[in-house]
Amino acid sequence: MKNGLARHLTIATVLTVLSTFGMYFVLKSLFALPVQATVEGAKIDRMFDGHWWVISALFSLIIVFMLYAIFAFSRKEGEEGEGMYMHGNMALEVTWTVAPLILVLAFGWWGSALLSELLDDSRDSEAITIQVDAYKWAWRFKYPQEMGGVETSTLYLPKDRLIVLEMESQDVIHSFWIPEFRVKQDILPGRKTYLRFTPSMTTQEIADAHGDSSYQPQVRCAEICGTSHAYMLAPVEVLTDQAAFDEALFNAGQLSADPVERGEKWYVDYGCNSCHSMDGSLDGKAGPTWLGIYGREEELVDGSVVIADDDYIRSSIYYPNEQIVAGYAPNIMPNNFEAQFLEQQQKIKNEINQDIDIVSDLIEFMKTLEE
Amino acid sequence: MVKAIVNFSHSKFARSFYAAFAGAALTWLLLSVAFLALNWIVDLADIAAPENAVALQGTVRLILAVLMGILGFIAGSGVLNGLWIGRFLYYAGRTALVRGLFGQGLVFAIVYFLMRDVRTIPEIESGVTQASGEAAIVLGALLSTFGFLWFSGVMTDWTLQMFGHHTELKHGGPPGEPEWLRYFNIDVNHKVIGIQYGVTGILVLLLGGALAILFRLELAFPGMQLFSTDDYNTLFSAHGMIMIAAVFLGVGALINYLAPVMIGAADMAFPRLNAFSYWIGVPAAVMLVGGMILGWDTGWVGYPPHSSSTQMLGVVLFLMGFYMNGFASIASAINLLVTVVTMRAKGMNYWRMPIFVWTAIATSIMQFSATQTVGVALSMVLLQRTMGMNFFDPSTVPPGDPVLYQHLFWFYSHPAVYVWVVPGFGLISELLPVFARKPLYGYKWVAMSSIGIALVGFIVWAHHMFTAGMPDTLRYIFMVSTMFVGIPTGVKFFSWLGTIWGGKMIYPTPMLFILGSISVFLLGGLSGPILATIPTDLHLHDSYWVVGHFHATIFGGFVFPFFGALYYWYPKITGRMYNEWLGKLHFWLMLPAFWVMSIGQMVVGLRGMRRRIADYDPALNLDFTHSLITIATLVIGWSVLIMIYNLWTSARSKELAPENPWGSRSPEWLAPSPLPEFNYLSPIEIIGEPYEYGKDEEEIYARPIPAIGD
Repeated sequence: MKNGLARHLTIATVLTVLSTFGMYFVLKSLFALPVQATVEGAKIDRMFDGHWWVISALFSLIIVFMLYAIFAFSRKEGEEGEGMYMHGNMALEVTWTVAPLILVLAFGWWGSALLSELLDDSRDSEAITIQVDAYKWAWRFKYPQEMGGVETSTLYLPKDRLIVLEMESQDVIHSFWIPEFRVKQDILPGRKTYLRFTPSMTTQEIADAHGDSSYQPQVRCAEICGTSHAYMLAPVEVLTDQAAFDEALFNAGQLSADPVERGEKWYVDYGCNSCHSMDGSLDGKAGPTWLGIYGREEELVDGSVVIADDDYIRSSIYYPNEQIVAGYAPNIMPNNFEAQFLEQQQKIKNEINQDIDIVSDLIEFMKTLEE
Repeated sequence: MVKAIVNFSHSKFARSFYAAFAGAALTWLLLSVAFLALNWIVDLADIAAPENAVALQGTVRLILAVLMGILGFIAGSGVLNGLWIGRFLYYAGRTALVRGLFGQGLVFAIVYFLMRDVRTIPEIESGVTQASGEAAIVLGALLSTFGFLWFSGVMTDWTLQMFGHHTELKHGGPPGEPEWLRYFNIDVNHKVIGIQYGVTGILVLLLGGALAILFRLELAFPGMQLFSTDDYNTLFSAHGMIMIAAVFLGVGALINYLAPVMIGAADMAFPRLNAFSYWIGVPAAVMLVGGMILGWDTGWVGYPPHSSSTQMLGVVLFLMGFYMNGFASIASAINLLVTVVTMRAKGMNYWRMPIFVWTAIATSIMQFSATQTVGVALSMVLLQRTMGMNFFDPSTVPPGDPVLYQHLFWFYSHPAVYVWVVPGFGLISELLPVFARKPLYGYKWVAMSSIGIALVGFIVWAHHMFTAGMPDTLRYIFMVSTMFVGIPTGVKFFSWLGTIWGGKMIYPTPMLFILGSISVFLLGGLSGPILATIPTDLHLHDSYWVVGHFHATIFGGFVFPFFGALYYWYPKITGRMYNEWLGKLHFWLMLPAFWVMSIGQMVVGLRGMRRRIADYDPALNLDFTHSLITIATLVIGWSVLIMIYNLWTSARSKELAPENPWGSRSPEWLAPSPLPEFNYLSPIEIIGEPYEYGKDEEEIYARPIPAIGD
């Protein structure tokens, strides 16, 4: 019987080793990570690989021994009697306590070393620092003064430059995640959080590697933040080099002479689009559609009816909690647009000496959205 | 005076009145659900409903409810017992459940309307904002819990004692009524309470599962087909919290039913407190369901400032319901610890207890000492919402801290996960020796690993916050401490392998579930360390990988062992045998379906699927996997219905089960099935070791204490 047990152990051990390699290849094909598009992502993916090996080995160890036991130690038809009488083995118990301990310490060391690399702020001075503003349910990105201090709703990045994101929320907790970049950080109100990465692929390269040349990498909010959490997205444009990056920022900072075009820009820049559709759809939208909004009769929660004219639209943007359309809730729309717009208008005035009224641009844009 | 009130509450008039309430309330509820479903379908199918449909439905509902109320009042005297509806209402009027719900509704209504009207006094209104409408709900919900407890009778004995009356512990069914009625009334017997926990747990599990299937249908394809995003958010939030309640009830069922019998005791140490622990969960569940009806979109974690600012008012009922459940946890943990310490049979030292009792101890230590912090966290959000006390909003002076909540919340809610899985581990260790016909491998190591998991469980909570913005130093510490959980958990796995190695295994349904749970928990366990090392967690945090990991952990650590336990102890509980073929069908549907579901969730998570989103980007190519997950969810749902059918029909079988169908050494099989009122016909003593299967000269574990002179 003792010899039989040794034979069983040997067979199961050999099978475990074979299964480990098999499992590794199963895991690699089943658990495919997204395109890897940052320098840091490459290091993180190596750690993923280390985990796949450990998972393969431990999974094989338990499952192979369990299946082998079912194969070898099941009661045969008509068999009598009980199993082998044994209570345990001190040496074995100590082994399977200490071996995982060593594995834990090894991965703890690896994880700590890599984490301190990801958190390293010694090269921040040569990085591009972008401020990220998150609010329900949109993103705004502010670039450094020496790059024109532009604000955009698309995240523009140059390839192969260290990027530091300085992030803050205006309302609830959000979370910044670009799956292709492998990093994530929650964004808190009243406190700044940071994220560092170095893009290693342009958006076009990411899309091609993804297998769909029209694929758009996006910033995706990863912390539940209410009605339109699923749609709290922002496009990511990684550009080939500094020149292309500068050009994109320059273009983003340009103001069209056409108020309708400017209105459309504000509509996207200030995240109006995350709650108000321009095609009449209401799916996942927390506010009324802008399709045909100008001049429309709206019934309010108190039962009264208003015409959506210039005055109503302006006051609805500046004081969003005062006249709520029936079927919608108050306190969802940010109530600081007046301050934001005034600041932006003053900035444009200072820079190019042009008088702009963002609300009237938006109204001009709304007028074009006819049913 | 108190005595007169108590007597009045059992008078004929009171009973008729409760029957009337049962008829009216149930009609109102059923019609509301029916109309809700009808309107939803009409809306989906884009049928033009008549203008006044909603008003019409309201009128129909009111009229029918009043009619059923009158019918109930008549039926309450027993004159309609010839009709099934008459019998139903007659007995409904005699249950603590109906009395309690009436009390809860009454107190809520009084408090809510008083508060609301106080608000209209001008001087008060000027100082208090709309928040006081919410305050009315919160105070109403809080006091309605006491309404439930008093009217149902949970507090009756204690109240009488306060006024100097002597009260006896009442055993047995209600006098002059059928035996089954005691399961709907306040009963102090640990087995009745265990079954109350178990049946309620399965019903709540079905509700939570139904919600999951609803939102899985929505996720089967990208885009929104069935729900608004707010409804979706409510569904997943409610699914999470309701399933957690279901698992707690299941744990309560196991510990209450099994622990006292296993240690050779006649009951728990504090039988009335035991009943209180169960019954306070009922008003809490009502609040959670109420929260779902009002809608809440914070998930079960309820992070502020979102939970403290959301307009979906259901959040306050969720916070209050969660808070009330905490009382049940703390009270039942104390009860179990005292029972195990003081009421073990003669000769049962700690190293001779059935291994499940060790896991009950580990679980109770966690529940007893961690639940308080989540209570603090939840009540702080409630106070911030309704009283304007600021704890979490950083924009005030002095500023609040949104991350503080997460620390308080997870200091409890991480150990809570171990509260659910450690008893499951106990079941695996308990059943494997029986079906492998071998001693449990490394008894003391297995026992101590449960305590080890419980203790390490206290120092890992912040891994839920690796991306939350806490100080970086903490991230290193919690990364390493989290991985330490793997060590005692590894001991469990290896001991299970050691137990089956060299055995003579047989595979009835309970054994299949136990082996299945090892494979499923392995999936959950091994998908954990990759979340513990922060560099890889930065990608996986708040993704569907976590959803897959968590479900595998809870299914492997609780759901599969729990179902195994239901089949295993079914002959003990009912005295009948379940249908083996249906049991195996349940297993072979559920295990593969679960694997598909859980691995599918991990696959989409790796590719960029975020948690808690109503809709996903079709460009991520997740549709196929999501459809598979949805199909797997449906299969799991059907398989559970098969189990319920099996358990229900087998209980009515005439054929009795063998006395000890599994050849177990555990002491509960010494007693008759179903267990008598006080478990053992005569006290037992322990004279051997618990798992001595296959020993050459047979050694007895437990036996009735021989009478003097024998």
